[in-house]
Amino acid sequence: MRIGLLNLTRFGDLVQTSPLLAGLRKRHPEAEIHLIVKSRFREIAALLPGVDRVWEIDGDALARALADPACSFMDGYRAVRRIADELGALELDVAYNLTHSRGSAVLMSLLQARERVGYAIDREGLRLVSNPWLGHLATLVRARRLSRFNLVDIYLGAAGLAGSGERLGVRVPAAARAAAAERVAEGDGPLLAVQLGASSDAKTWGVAHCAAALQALAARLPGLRCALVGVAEERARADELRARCPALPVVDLIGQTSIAELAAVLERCRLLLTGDTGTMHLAAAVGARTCAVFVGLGNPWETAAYGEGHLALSSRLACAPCQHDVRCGFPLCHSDFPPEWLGELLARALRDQPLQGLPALERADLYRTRFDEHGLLDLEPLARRRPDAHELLALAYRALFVESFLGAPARAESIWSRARERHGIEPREWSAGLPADLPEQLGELAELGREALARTRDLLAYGGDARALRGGAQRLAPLDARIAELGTAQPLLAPLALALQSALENLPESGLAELIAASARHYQTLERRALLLGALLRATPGAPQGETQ
Amino acid sequence: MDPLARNLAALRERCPEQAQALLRCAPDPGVELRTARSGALALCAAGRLETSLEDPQAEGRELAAHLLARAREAGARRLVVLGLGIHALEALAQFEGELLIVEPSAALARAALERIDVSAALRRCALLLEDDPERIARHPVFAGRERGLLLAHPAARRRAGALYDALLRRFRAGGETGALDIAVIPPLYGGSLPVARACARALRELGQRVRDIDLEVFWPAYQRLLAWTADARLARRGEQLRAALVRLIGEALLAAFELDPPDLVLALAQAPLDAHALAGLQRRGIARALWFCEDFRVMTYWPGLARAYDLVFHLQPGEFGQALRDAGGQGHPLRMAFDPMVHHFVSLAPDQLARYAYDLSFVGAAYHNRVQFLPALVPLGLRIYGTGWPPTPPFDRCMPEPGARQSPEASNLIFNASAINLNLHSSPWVDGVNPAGDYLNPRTFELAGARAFQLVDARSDLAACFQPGAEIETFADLEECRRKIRHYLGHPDERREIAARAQRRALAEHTYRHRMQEALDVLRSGAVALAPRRCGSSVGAALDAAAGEPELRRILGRLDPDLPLDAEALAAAVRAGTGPLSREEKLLLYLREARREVVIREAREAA
Repeated sequence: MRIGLLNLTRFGDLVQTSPLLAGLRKRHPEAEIHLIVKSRFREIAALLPGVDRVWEIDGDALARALADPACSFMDGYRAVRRIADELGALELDVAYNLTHSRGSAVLMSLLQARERVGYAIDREGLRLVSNPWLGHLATLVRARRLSRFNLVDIYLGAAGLAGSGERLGVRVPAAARAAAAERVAEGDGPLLAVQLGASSDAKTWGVAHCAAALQALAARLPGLRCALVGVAEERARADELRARCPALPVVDLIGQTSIAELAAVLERCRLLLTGDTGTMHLAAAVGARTCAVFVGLGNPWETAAYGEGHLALSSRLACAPCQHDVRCGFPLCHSDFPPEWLGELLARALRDQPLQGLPALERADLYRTRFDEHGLLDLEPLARRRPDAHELLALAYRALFVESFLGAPARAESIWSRARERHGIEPREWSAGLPADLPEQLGELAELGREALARTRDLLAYGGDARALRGGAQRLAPLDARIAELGTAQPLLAPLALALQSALENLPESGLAELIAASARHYQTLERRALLLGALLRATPGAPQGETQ
Repeated sequence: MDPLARNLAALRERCPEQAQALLRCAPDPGVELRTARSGALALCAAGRLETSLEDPQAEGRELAAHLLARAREAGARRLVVLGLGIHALEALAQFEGELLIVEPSAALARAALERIDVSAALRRCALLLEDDPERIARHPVFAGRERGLLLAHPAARRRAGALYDALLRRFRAGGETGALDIAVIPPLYGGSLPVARACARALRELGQRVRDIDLEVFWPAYQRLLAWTADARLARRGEQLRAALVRLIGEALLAAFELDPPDLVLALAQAPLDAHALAGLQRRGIARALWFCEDFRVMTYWPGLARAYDLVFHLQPGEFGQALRDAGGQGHPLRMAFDPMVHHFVSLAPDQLARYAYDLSFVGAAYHNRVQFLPALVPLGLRIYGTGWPPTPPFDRCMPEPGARQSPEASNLIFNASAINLNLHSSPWVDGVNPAGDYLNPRTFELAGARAFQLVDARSDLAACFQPGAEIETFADLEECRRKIRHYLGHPDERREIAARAQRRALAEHTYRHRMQEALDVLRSGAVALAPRRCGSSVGAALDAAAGEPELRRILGRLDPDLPLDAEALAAAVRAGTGPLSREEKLLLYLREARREVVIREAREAA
């Protein structure tokens, strides 16, 4: 058996692919597993366990064929054809696309694979996401505040391995361990690794804030040692930090480690202070604990370190996390984490002391990672407060989507119970925190779902009468439009409308009867989800039960 | 051996006839060498120094570095430089491709080469002592086919600006010059707005990729700002607010170009691009040209823009060309024109004749000289259309549509309906005909294009465009104007013949398409550093390269071969197909996506 994984993303996402690789390896011990990555990330790809062959694609070189007159267009075209030929010759049994880009979708269509999972294009070049987990990933980028699944679970889910207990992991070569031991000697004081940069400025916490927190930490923890890690481009940040904290004992490793050596350094650290970075995932993969400050684009629900007991901080600002198409000119979220408070948090984490009792922050939340009853990563809030509307709805959405993806029934009682446990809120109190017109809008959505279901079933009666079918489909269009309108007008309902839209856009290529049946199921799911949410708000259990998709 | 002997020996190796020319040349008393503070010699021609008297050698090296950088940016394998630039020569000779130095003053070259040894450089480049553009254009380096660039030393541009302009018209950058991606930036309102539209249309007809930039949406906001700050006490505040709006528009345009920058921005006079936006365009590698279709003596805002644009097209050669050069800018004369889509001959319907048919019509705004001149023509049946005319005698008696601004289409009807159309170029300083009038307004070409008979005030540039008396009639003063009105009102056949000849000439030489072709020729000559990545390859070139790939050629064949081959072209080629995607279409789509990802990443990093 040959399995292909296409992951043309970045360093961190590749580390997050490791549980999927491990799960596939366990499920298919004899299979050949091929991993296709961007050339820039070949180093981390080489450390991922379970891979038989890494294929590299140099996207920058291909791009030059169109941009640089010194390169010939035909050279670029032939290079693409060579890639397609080589990958096509693999004749994969199954190809997973873990990349959310149109380029990767086109590349998927060039692979020879009996089964394709994830973002692809259909015969006419239109977008097609064949897997519900990966479809959810593509959908929820447009409603990020309500996104509640970790990327690793989504990757695992794509292969039917969600909840399988697989964890992050990389191979750390002995030579790298030896090099790390030379650079970071054993010492008396606790060793804190600090990663200052991130893949984009939009996810990078300010150096000044970090320096203030480290000074507060140093005052509490005599003997503290810091290892500054990162790439050479982060030199200016490191210099600024050292200038701001001249008394802090620092081992400066900026630009001095390979990825393998970085992994080995992180193994030796008790904790990593970081933003939402690839280094964070690497630390988690080698068993180091992490404390990550999520700012800007960073969303801990999507990309917190995949393991037990990692710490994640995120802003409570209404705009947090940033939408992907936003370039923030006033990143207020960077100052939501008071340095003294953070110094205390880090001190306790480094001393393995309990974190309970830390004062709640006014504008930020502290979470600890854990796995829920389905084996999916969850974020446990470490300070209780009245939840915002979107947090209550997100609890319900997680349950609803788990129901669809894993078949575990979503029940109002268990959602209420989760809200009580996390936020101390009783069912009767739900409606107080939510928009007054939400129940009415949910009622309309349920009604629209019911009506669309009926009209879809009517299509079956038309048989092969194309004209009648066209008329029937036209009668569905206004219902679809109203559902989309409700999802846009009320962001809290966006996941319902987006999920339906995505499902209808990605109907499998099959016969008419199957298409109609699949469409009907999706409208039925919408109705059920809207009814359950309505029941939650009204504090009336007994909503429709059972799997719907 | 003295410097001259060494220089001549070197010159004989590569250009023996130039060595002869140098020896034949008599010394010019107007050329002298002065000793600079650094001890080096500085050339001085006709009383103007070629370099400063500080450190000419350092200046020369710096200048050469700048010219070489421009050649690198343009991907040039062929470099023609106007001006000997004696102190830059050695560094310039490091150019890796073919280098031709053109010095129009043999006397200046002789004076320099007698005293300064540049023999090593002369062995590595070609020197041409010549001031005739035709002969220069025949030089094999100048006429070469490889990608090239024509540049000039600032001092040479000062003393031989006309020659440089002539060379620019003749030089071809060569290499693969596909269609350009051009954003034409109109003003918010006013006379240049239809000109912008006509330019965009003409460029499109010439196979360029033109972006429609519509800024009219900002005009109401601009007017509102004017209204809110109309009080004289708010004048300064009003200026600030209008400048802020222009800044906003510039920022918006920069954002619009962020991910997919055009090769060139062609702005029309009064386009809302301030220095900040122009600098932003430069940072993004977008070439910037302005068509300053205004009278530089009246509209005096140009010095602030001269250096902010890579090239300024203008209406007034001679004095203005020199003024632009002095201000550090680069100019090229480009006359006004007409758009045959708008101004053309029409047979008028009875209702149109009833509305517009008069003996003598004038269309235009109430500038000072017109207000002074036209009342004397009211007794001859004059009708006036346009804005700003006082609603008082005698104007109130001769305005069929008082205060209304005539659309270009309505103007065309008036032109066609009137027996005689009067065209008086505006002037704020004289009372009637401007005796020093030089450039031609658009009306001159529009009337000709509409096959309408016109009487136009005498202009120095007129004879270059139309033959007076045969293709156009002129007047130098009120008396001549009156006399000719009376004559032509009585001779309709003469009017028709002159108008027909004017239209033939206008269609043959004076459409916006002609002007835009001239502008493109100048731009492609290397006058503006067009980023090579954008015009580096065309669909046509790719078609040639894909000779053995029939399916690929079939897909690319869906596109205009002159289009630049970029990510969008590939997407368009695939989109133009029908049915399931072929393997080749998928390969092209992947190449396109690879490019897009890099463009987006680079744009984010730049931001």
